[in-house]
Amino acid sequence: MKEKTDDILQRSSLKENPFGAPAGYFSSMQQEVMAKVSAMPHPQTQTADPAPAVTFMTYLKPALALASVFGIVFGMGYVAIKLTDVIGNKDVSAGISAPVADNTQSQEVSDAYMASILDITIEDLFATIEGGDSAIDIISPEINKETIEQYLIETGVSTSSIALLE
Amino acid sequence: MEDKEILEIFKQEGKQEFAFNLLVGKYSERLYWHIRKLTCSHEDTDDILQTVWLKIWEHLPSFREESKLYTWIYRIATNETLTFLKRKRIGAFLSLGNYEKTLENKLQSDPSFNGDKLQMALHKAIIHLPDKQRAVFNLRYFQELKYEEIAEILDTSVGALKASYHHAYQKIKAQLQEQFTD
Repeated sequence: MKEKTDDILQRSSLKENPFGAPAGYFSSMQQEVMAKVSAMPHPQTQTADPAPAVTFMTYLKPALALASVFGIVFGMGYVAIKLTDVIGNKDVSAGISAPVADNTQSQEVSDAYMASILDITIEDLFATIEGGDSAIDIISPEINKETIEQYLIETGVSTSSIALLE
Repeated sequence: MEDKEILEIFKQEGKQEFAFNLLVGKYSERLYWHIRKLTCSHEDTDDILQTVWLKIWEHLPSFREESKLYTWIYRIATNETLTFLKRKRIGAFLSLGNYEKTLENKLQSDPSFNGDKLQMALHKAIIHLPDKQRAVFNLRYFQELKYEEIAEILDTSVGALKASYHHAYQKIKAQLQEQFTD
Protein backbone atom coordinates (compact mmCIF):
# COMPACT_ATOMS: atom_id res chain seq x y z
CA MET A 1 0.00 0.00 0.00
CA LYS A 2 1.37 3.42 -0.91
CA GLU A 3 1.52 6.17 1.72
CA LYS A 4 1.02 9.86 1.07
CA THR A 5 3.43 12.35 2.73
CA ASP A 6 4.86 15.75 1.85
CA ASP A 7 8.47 14.67 2.23
CA ILE A 8 9.07 10.98 2.44
CA LEU A 9 12.64 11.47 3.67
CA GLN A 10 11.38 13.23 6.81
CA ARG A 11 9.93 10.01 8.19
CA SER A 12 11.82 9.20 11.38
CA SER A 13 11.87 5.47 10.63
CA LEU A 14 14.16 6.13 7.68
CA LYS A 15 16.86 7.58 9.91
CA GLU A 16 17.00 4.43 12.03
CA ASN A 17 19.90 2.09 11.43
CA PRO A 18 18.64 -1.04 9.65
CA PHE A 19 22.03 -2.78 9.64
CA GLY A 20 23.28 -5.15 12.30
CA ALA A 21 26.74 -6.20 13.45
CA PRO A 22 27.72 -9.65 14.77
CA ALA A 23 27.25 -10.04 18.53
CA GLY A 24 30.30 -8.96 20.54
CA TYR A 25 31.97 -7.58 17.44
CA PHE A 26 32.94 -4.19 18.87
CA SER A 27 34.71 -5.51 21.96
CA SER A 28 36.56 -8.17 19.97
CA MET A 29 37.52 -5.62 17.32
CA GLN A 30 38.86 -3.28 20.00
CA GLN A 31 41.02 -6.08 21.45
CA GLU A 32 42.26 -6.98 17.97
CA VAL A 33 43.20 -3.37 17.20
CA MET A 34 44.99 -2.96 20.54
CA ALA A 35 46.92 -6.21 19.98
CA LYS A 36 48.11 -4.89 16.61
CA VAL A 37 48.96 -1.52 18.13
CA SER A 38 51.03 -3.18 20.89
CA ALA A 39 53.02 -5.04 18.25
CA MET A 40 53.77 -1.80 16.39
CA PRO A 41 56.54 0.60 17.42
CA HIS A 42 55.35 3.47 19.56
CA PRO A 43 54.72 6.59 17.47
CA GLN A 44 57.17 9.44 18.04
CA THR A 45 55.90 12.45 19.89
CA GLN A 46 56.18 15.89 18.31
CA THR A 47 59.05 17.00 20.58
CA ALA A 48 61.18 14.01 19.56
CA ASP A 49 62.39 15.64 16.32
CA PRO A 50 65.37 17.89 17.02
CA ALA A 51 65.83 20.93 14.79
CA PRO A 52 68.30 20.19 11.98
CA ALA A 53 71.75 21.78 12.49
CA VAL A 54 72.47 24.89 10.40
CA THR A 55 75.78 24.55 8.52
CA PHE A 56 77.56 26.44 5.74
CA MET A 57 76.10 23.95 3.25
CA THR A 58 72.59 24.89 4.40
CA TYR A 59 73.10 28.34 2.87
CA LEU A 60 75.25 27.19 -0.05
CA LYS A 61 72.87 24.51 -1.32
CA PRO A 62 70.11 26.85 -2.62
CA ALA A 63 72.72 29.08 -4.33
CA LEU A 64 74.31 26.06 -5.99
CA ALA A 65 70.94 24.81 -7.09
CA LEU A 66 70.09 28.21 -8.59
CA ALA A 67 73.45 28.42 -10.35
CA SER A 68 73.07 24.96 -11.82
CA VAL A 69 69.57 25.85 -13.09
CA PHE A 70 70.98 28.95 -14.83
CA GLY A 71 73.80 26.84 -16.25
CA ILE A 72 71.36 24.31 -17.67
CA VAL A 73 69.13 27.03 -19.16
CA PHE A 74 72.05 28.88 -20.81
CA GLY A 75 73.56 25.60 -22.01
CA MET A 76 70.27 24.60 -23.63
CA GLY A 77 69.97 28.05 -25.23
CA TYR A 78 73.53 27.87 -26.58
CA VAL A 79 72.98 24.42 -28.05
CA ALA A 80 69.67 25.55 -29.60
CA ILE A 81 71.31 28.60 -31.23
CA LYS A 82 74.20 26.51 -32.54
CA LEU A 83 71.85 23.92 -33.97
CA THR A 84 69.61 26.45 -35.72
CA ASP A 85 72.70 28.23 -37.09
CA VAL A 86 74.06 25.03 -38.65
CA ILE A 87 70.69 24.09 -40.11
CA GLY A 88 70.27 27.63 -41.52
CA ASN A 89 73.67 27.52 -43.21
CA LYS A 90 72.87 24.19 -44.81
CA ASP A 91 69.64 25.57 -46.23
CA VAL A 92 71.30 28.65 -47.73
CA SER A 93 74.23 26.85 -49.29
CA ALA A 94 72.31 23.79 -50.50
CA GLY A 95 71.25 25.29 -53.85
CA ILE A 96 74.48 27.19 -54.50
CA SER A 97 77.52 25.09 -53.84
CA ALA A 98 77.03 21.36 -53.73
CA PRO A 99 78.55 19.18 -52.47
CA VAL A 100 79.25 21.07 -49.25
CA ALA A 101 82.41 19.86 -47.63
CA ASP A 102 82.66 22.45 -44.89
CA ASN A 103 79.91 24.72 -43.56
CA THR A 104 82.27 27.61 -42.85
CA GLN A 105 83.71 27.43 -46.35
CA SER A 106 80.28 27.22 -47.96
CA GLN A 107 79.25 30.36 -46.07
CA GLU A 108 82.25 32.25 -47.49
CA VAL A 109 81.59 31.02 -51.01
CA SER A 110 77.94 31.93 -50.92
CA ASP A 111 78.69 35.45 -49.62
CA ALA A 112 81.19 36.02 -52.40
CA TYR A 113 78.76 34.67 -54.92
CA MET A 114 76.05 37.03 -53.72
CA ALA A 115 78.46 39.95 -53.80
CA SER A 116 79.46 39.10 -57.34
CA ILE A 117 75.85 39.09 -58.48
CA LEU A 118 74.96 42.34 -56.77
CA ASP A 119 78.04 44.51 -57.17
CA ILE A 120 80.16 43.44 -60.12
CA THR A 121 79.78 45.36 -63.33
CA ILE A 122 81.37 44.89 -66.72
CA GLU A 123 83.79 47.70 -65.86
CA ASP A 124 84.91 45.75 -62.82
CA LEU A 125 85.54 42.74 -64.97
CA PHE A 126 87.84 44.68 -67.30
CA ALA A 127 89.46 46.47 -64.41
CA THR A 128 90.27 43.09 -62.96
CA ILE A 129 91.76 41.91 -66.23
CA GLU A 130 93.96 44.97 -66.34
CA GLY A 131 94.87 45.55 -62.72
CA GLY A 132 93.20 42.99 -60.48
CA ASP A 133 90.28 43.31 -58.10
CA SER A 134 89.83 41.63 -54.78
CA ALA A 135 86.09 40.99 -55.32
CA ILE A 136 86.73 39.09 -58.52
CA ASP A 137 89.78 37.43 -57.06
CA ILE A 138 87.56 35.80 -54.47
CA ILE A 139 85.52 34.07 -57.15
CA SER A 140 88.44 33.04 -59.33
CA PRO A 141 91.93 34.48 -59.26
CA GLU A 142 92.73 32.84 -62.67
CA ILE A 143 90.20 34.84 -64.66
CA ASN A 144 91.51 36.63 -67.77
CA LYS A 145 90.34 38.35 -70.97
CA GLU A 146 89.92 35.12 -72.94
CA THR A 147 87.76 33.42 -70.32
CA ILE A 148 85.52 36.52 -70.10
CA GLU A 149 85.11 36.63 -73.87
CA GLN A 150 84.41 32.90 -73.92
CA TYR A 151 81.82 33.36 -71.17
CA LEU A 152 80.12 36.24 -72.97
CA ILE A 153 79.94 34.25 -76.23
CA GLU A 154 78.46 31.28 -74.39
CA THR A 155 75.80 33.46 -72.77
CA GLY A 156 74.71 34.82 -76.17
CA VAL A 157 76.43 38.24 -76.31
CA SER A 158 77.25 39.10 -79.89
CA THR A 159 80.91 39.45 -80.95
CA SER A 160 80.28 43.04 -82.12
CA SER A 161 79.14 43.96 -78.61
CA ILE A 162 82.23 42.34 -77.16
CA ALA A 163 84.37 44.27 -79.59
CA LEU A 164 82.70 47.50 -78.45
CA LEU A 165 83.57 46.76 -74.85
CA GLU A 166 87.24 46.59 -75.78
CA MET B 1 35.69 11.41 28.58
CA GLU B 2 36.37 14.47 26.41
CA ASP B 3 38.71 14.23 23.44
CA LYS B 4 41.03 16.85 24.94
CA GLU B 5 41.46 14.80 28.09
CA ILE B 6 42.25 11.69 26.05
CA LEU B 7 44.83 13.66 24.07
CA GLU B 8 46.42 14.92 27.29
CA ILE B 9 46.75 11.35 28.56
CA PHE B 10 48.17 10.29 25.18
CA LYS B 11 50.95 12.86 25.55
CA GLN B 12 52.03 11.42 28.89
CA GLU B 13 54.97 9.04 28.88
CA GLY B 14 53.90 5.38 28.96
CA LYS B 15 50.17 6.11 28.69
CA GLN B 16 49.81 6.17 24.92
CA GLU B 17 48.21 2.73 24.62
CA PHE B 18 45.82 3.43 27.47
CA ALA B 19 44.68 6.69 25.87
CA PHE B 20 44.39 5.09 22.46
CA ASN B 21 42.26 2.29 23.90
CA LEU B 22 39.89 4.95 25.24
CA LEU B 23 39.70 6.50 21.79
CA VAL B 24 39.00 3.18 20.06
CA GLY B 25 36.26 2.43 22.59
CA LYS B 26 34.71 5.87 22.09
CA TYR B 27 34.65 6.06 18.31
CA SER B 28 34.69 2.51 16.91
CA GLU B 29 30.94 2.03 16.76
CA ARG B 30 30.24 5.40 15.08
CA LEU B 31 33.00 4.86 12.56
CA TYR B 32 31.80 1.31 11.91
CA TRP B 33 28.31 2.46 10.92
CA HIS B 34 29.67 5.31 8.84
CA ILE B 35 31.87 2.90 6.88
CA ARG B 36 29.27 0.14 6.79
CA LYS B 37 26.69 2.36 5.11
CA LEU B 38 29.20 3.12 2.38
CA THR B 39 30.52 -0.41 1.78
CA CYS B 40 27.30 -2.40 2.53
CA SER B 41 29.49 -5.21 3.86
CA HIS B 42 30.54 -6.18 7.39
CA GLU B 43 33.78 -7.85 6.24
CA ASP B 44 34.93 -4.87 4.18
CA THR B 45 33.97 -2.50 7.00
CA ASP B 46 35.98 -4.55 9.51
CA ASP B 47 39.09 -4.46 7.30
CA ILE B 48 38.80 -0.73 6.66
CA LEU B 49 38.11 0.09 10.30
CA GLN B 50 41.18 -1.78 11.53
CA THR B 51 43.34 -0.03 8.93
CA VAL B 52 41.86 3.30 9.99
CA TRP B 53 42.75 2.71 13.65
CA LEU B 54 46.30 1.71 12.79
CA LYS B 55 46.68 4.89 10.74
CA ILE B 56 45.29 6.96 13.59
CA TRP B 57 47.79 5.33 15.98
CA GLU B 58 50.62 6.12 13.60
CA HIS B 59 49.64 9.76 12.99
CA LEU B 60 48.09 10.81 16.29
CA PRO B 61 51.38 12.30 17.62
CA SER B 62 51.41 14.67 14.64
CA PHE B 63 47.79 15.78 15.22
CA ARG B 64 48.12 19.55 15.73
CA GLU B 65 44.69 20.15 17.31
CA GLU B 66 43.87 22.74 14.63
CA SER B 67 40.64 20.83 14.05
CA LYS B 68 38.46 18.75 16.34
CA LEU B 69 39.80 15.27 17.01
CA TYR B 70 36.60 13.54 15.91
CA THR B 71 36.51 15.37 12.55
CA TRP B 72 40.16 14.36 12.02
CA ILE B 73 39.28 10.73 12.84
CA TYR B 74 36.24 10.85 10.54
CA ARG B 75 38.41 12.33 7.82
CA ILE B 76 40.84 9.43 7.95
CA ALA B 77 37.97 6.92 7.99
CA THR B 78 36.14 8.61 5.09
CA ASN B 79 39.25 8.93 2.95
CA GLU B 80 40.18 5.30 3.58
CA THR B 81 36.66 4.17 2.64
CA LEU B 82 36.50 6.34 -0.49
CA THR B 83 39.89 4.96 -1.59
CA PHE B 84 38.60 1.42 -1.00
CA LEU B 85 35.44 2.11 -3.03
CA LYS B 86 37.47 3.67 -5.84
CA ARG B 87 39.71 0.60 -5.98
CA LYS B 88 36.65 -1.67 -6.08
CA ARG B 89 35.04 0.39 -8.85
CA ILE B 90 38.21 0.21 -10.96
CA GLY B 91 38.39 -3.56 -10.35
CA ALA B 92 34.74 -3.96 -11.38
CA PHE B 93 35.28 -1.78 -14.47
CA LEU B 94 38.29 -3.81 -15.58
CA SER B 95 36.37 -7.06 -15.20
CA LEU B 96 33.43 -5.51 -17.12
CA GLY B 97 31.29 -5.62 -13.99
CA ASN B 98 29.08 -3.04 -12.29
CA TYR B 99 30.10 -2.15 -8.74
CA GLU B 100 26.76 -0.51 -7.96
CA LYS B 101 25.00 -3.76 -8.86
CA THR B 102 27.44 -5.66 -6.63
CA LEU B 103 26.64 -3.33 -3.72
CA GLU B 104 22.92 -3.72 -4.37
CA ASN B 105 23.26 -7.51 -4.32
CA LYS B 106 25.25 -7.32 -1.07
CA LEU B 107 22.53 -5.18 0.47
CA GLN B 108 19.72 -7.48 -0.63
CA SER B 109 21.47 -10.63 0.57
CA ASP B 110 22.70 -9.13 3.87
CA PRO B 111 21.19 -11.27 6.66
CA SER B 112 21.86 -8.55 9.23
CA PHE B 113 19.70 -6.01 7.37
CA ASN B 114 16.46 -5.77 9.29
CA GLY B 115 14.85 -2.70 7.76
CA ASP B 116 11.53 -2.49 5.92
CA LYS B 117 10.95 -2.04 2.18
CA LEU B 118 11.19 1.73 2.39
CA GLN B 119 14.55 1.54 4.19
CA MET B 120 15.79 -0.96 1.64
CA ALA B 121 14.70 1.37 -1.18
CA LEU B 122 16.44 4.30 0.53
CA HIS B 123 19.75 2.47 0.87
CA LYS B 124 19.50 1.20 -2.71
CA ALA B 125 18.95 4.76 -3.92
CA ILE B 126 21.98 5.94 -1.91
CA ILE B 127 24.15 3.31 -3.61
CA HIS B 128 23.52 4.96 -6.97
CA LEU B 129 24.95 8.31 -5.86
CA PRO B 130 28.62 9.12 -6.58
CA ASP B 131 30.83 7.93 -3.69
CA LYS B 132 31.69 11.36 -2.28
CA GLN B 133 28.06 12.46 -2.50
CA ARG B 134 27.07 9.28 -0.63
CA ALA B 135 29.49 10.23 2.12
CA VAL B 136 28.01 13.75 2.26
CA PHE B 137 24.46 12.42 2.32
CA ASN B 138 25.19 9.84 5.05
CA LEU B 139 27.07 12.27 7.28
CA ARG B 140 24.29 14.85 7.03
CA TYR B 141 21.16 12.70 6.88
CA PHE B 142 22.00 9.84 9.27
CA GLN B 143 24.67 11.33 11.53
CA GLU B 144 23.19 14.85 11.38
CA LEU B 145 26.60 16.52 11.37
CA LYS B 146 26.81 20.25 10.68
CA TYR B 147 27.89 21.36 7.21
CA GLU B 148 30.97 22.99 8.74
CA GLU B 149 32.00 19.67 10.30
CA ILE B 150 31.39 17.76 7.06
CA ALA B 151 33.39 20.41 5.20
CA GLU B 152 36.29 19.78 7.58
CA ILE B 153 35.99 16.01 7.15
CA LEU B 154 35.81 16.10 3.36
CA ASP B 155 38.02 19.16 2.86
CA THR B 156 35.36 20.91 0.78
CA SER B 157 33.60 24.25 0.98
CA VAL B 158 30.31 24.53 2.83
CA GLY B 159 28.62 25.92 -0.30
CA ALA B 160 29.66 22.95 -2.42
CA LEU B 161 28.49 20.57 0.30
CA LYS B 162 25.07 22.21 0.58
CA ALA B 163 24.59 21.98 -3.17
CA SER B 164 25.75 18.37 -3.22
CA TYR B 165 23.48 17.37 -0.33
CA HIS B 166 20.48 19.21 -1.76
CA HIS B 167 20.95 17.53 -5.13
CA ALA B 168 21.27 14.07 -3.54
CA TYR B 169 18.29 14.69 -1.25
CA GLN B 170 15.99 15.74 -4.10
CA LYS B 171 17.08 12.83 -6.27
CA ILE B 172 16.46 10.22 -3.56
CA LYS B 173 13.20 11.85 -2.47
CA ALA B 174 11.86 11.77 -6.04
CA GLN B 175 12.81 8.09 -6.40
CA LEU B 176 11.17 7.08 -3.11
CA GLN B 177 8.04 9.16 -3.67
CA GLU B 178 7.61 7.59 -7.07
CA GLN B 179 7.73 4.13 -5.50
CA PHE B 180 5.85 4.70 -2.24
CA THR B 181 3.28 7.46 -2.77
CA ASP B 182 0.29 7.85 -5.11
